[in-house]
Amino acid sequence: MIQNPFTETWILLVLVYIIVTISLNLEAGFTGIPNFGKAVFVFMGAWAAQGIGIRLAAYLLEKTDPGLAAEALKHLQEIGIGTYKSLVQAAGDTDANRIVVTSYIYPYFQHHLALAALLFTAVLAIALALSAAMGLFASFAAVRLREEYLAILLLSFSELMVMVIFQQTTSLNGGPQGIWAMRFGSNGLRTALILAAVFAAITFLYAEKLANSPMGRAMRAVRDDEIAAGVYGRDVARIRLKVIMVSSMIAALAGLAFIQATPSTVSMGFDRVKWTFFPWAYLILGGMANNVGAVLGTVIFLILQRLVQLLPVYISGTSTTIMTIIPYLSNILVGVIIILVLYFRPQGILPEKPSKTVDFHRILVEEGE
Amino acid sequence: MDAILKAENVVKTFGALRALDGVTVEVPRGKITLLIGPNGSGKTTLMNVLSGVLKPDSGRVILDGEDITELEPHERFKRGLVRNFQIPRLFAGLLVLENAAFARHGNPGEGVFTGIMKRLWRDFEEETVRRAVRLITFTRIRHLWDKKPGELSGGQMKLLEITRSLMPDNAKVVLMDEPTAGVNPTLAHEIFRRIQQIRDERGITFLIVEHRLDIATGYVDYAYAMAYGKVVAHGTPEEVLNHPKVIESYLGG
Repeated sequence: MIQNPFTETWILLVLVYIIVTISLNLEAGFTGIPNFGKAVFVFMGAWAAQGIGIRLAAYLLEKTDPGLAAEALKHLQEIGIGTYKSLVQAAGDTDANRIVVTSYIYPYFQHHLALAALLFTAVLAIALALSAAMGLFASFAAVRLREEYLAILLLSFSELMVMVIFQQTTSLNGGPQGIWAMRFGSNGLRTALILAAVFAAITFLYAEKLANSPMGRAMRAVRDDEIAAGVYGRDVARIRLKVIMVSSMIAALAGLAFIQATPSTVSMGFDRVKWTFFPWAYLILGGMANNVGAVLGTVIFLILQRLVQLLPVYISGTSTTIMTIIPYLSNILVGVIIILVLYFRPQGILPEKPSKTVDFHRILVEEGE
Repeated sequence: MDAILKAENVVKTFGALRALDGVTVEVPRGKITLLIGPNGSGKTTLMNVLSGVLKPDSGRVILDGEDITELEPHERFKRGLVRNFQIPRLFAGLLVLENAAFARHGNPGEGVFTGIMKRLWRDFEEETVRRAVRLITFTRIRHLWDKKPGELSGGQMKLLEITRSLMPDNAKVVLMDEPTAGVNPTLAHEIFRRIQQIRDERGITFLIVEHRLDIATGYVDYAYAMAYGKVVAHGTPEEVLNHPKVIESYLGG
């Protein structure tokens, strides 16, 4: 039987990627910032719920119900996992994490909604602050230099963080084994869908408002000619840093929503292909500096990628050579489409449109000839 | 002389080339000063040093008594120093009207959070666009307001570049690099008349690099001549044009 390819998981991907692609659009499309380190900023949102959020949850549980916390620690000891000084320590440990999280933390917060709301607010705030700080840290050194240097710096920074530091440091995020993230609500996928839908809507509205504001104009000016923008009084480095920080915050929203559906993803799950290069491809297809284009590019690409992924289901029984190629078809597809778009329609499906700060026509009429 | 902008003993080298070799220039306040010299004499380099696009190897730049040698271009702009470019550096993705509007500084809507709060910047922006409309009318490119720079002719780009430099309301000194290059003679005269008008109405000081001496000399108050990275003469336009070193540098070069 042929399944419906457009499942809830797929819809979640669309929503999450809309957030990431619009965030990249603010940087790359409007401001000309070549952010090739998107992955780490998405990951920061996930990590706020994972490495930090789960410990914070354990801490809150310990404080509000010490009896339950003691019971959890005793349980761990009885089944031979180990002795832990505190629930926070156990929650962050790769051996104990899963039991503590699924048997104690998840159910506890499902029954204490006010506490869960408090925790969520804290995790959200941490995700935003962490990602903005990361963006600032990663780019302040190169933001005054030529774009190429910033691109290289951001790419290597993201690789270093996601692939090395977080992947190898067990105390941060469980290392290669990973730890379970704080999940809100009883159904992770549903929570993820709701969060992603809300975040995507906010992101789109924000980006559209910004694009049609004096800030949007200044961002384009910086992108088109940074020397002229500087001579006309704009601190180009400062504008770039602001945009990087805000875009990093937005990217973190995507990570926070996504991890709700897949709470045990290790840091390596936020790799450069999926979380940096794919959003770039979606943006190039949809149209740089056009938010509707960013959404359109994301949707079209994800439909194609989904269909390609499901090929084995449709053409089962063909040669094994074809079957082994199929997992890579999605990546090949991205490459081919980028080449075709850049060759035949470099502006993307929807080209940049003029911003509307105020009604130019009305002012032209009022100002006469 | 009451100089609003001064370059003192400025040296700027590019490898073995001394593009500016101890240049001292004093731009008189509220006047139009012409800067002439053959190609390669260092005029544009001096403009770049004055506006902060290039930092001098030695020497100082003084604006209204303040040493601005170490300041970035955007910091000089905030102190009232505006420049335009010999080869127009327009914002390719912005409309003609937006290019002009951007040149006004201090828009409260230029923040990642204030940008989305229209009530904070609507009035300022309304006033900015009005000014921009009036200025593009003044420079005769109003009919092109919704075009992008790529759709303009060379002369029209030049006019937009001039429009931009007249836009800032805090301007004290405007540096213009060949404002009439590529513009027909009638319009070139018109541009200089407009510059005179702005000098009189707003008290703005102009330093203008110009090759079309036949047109420019009738409109300017003072002149400097450069050759081989040095100032060779200064004084009234007539004095400078008839100065033997100036004639030699143009004919002998």
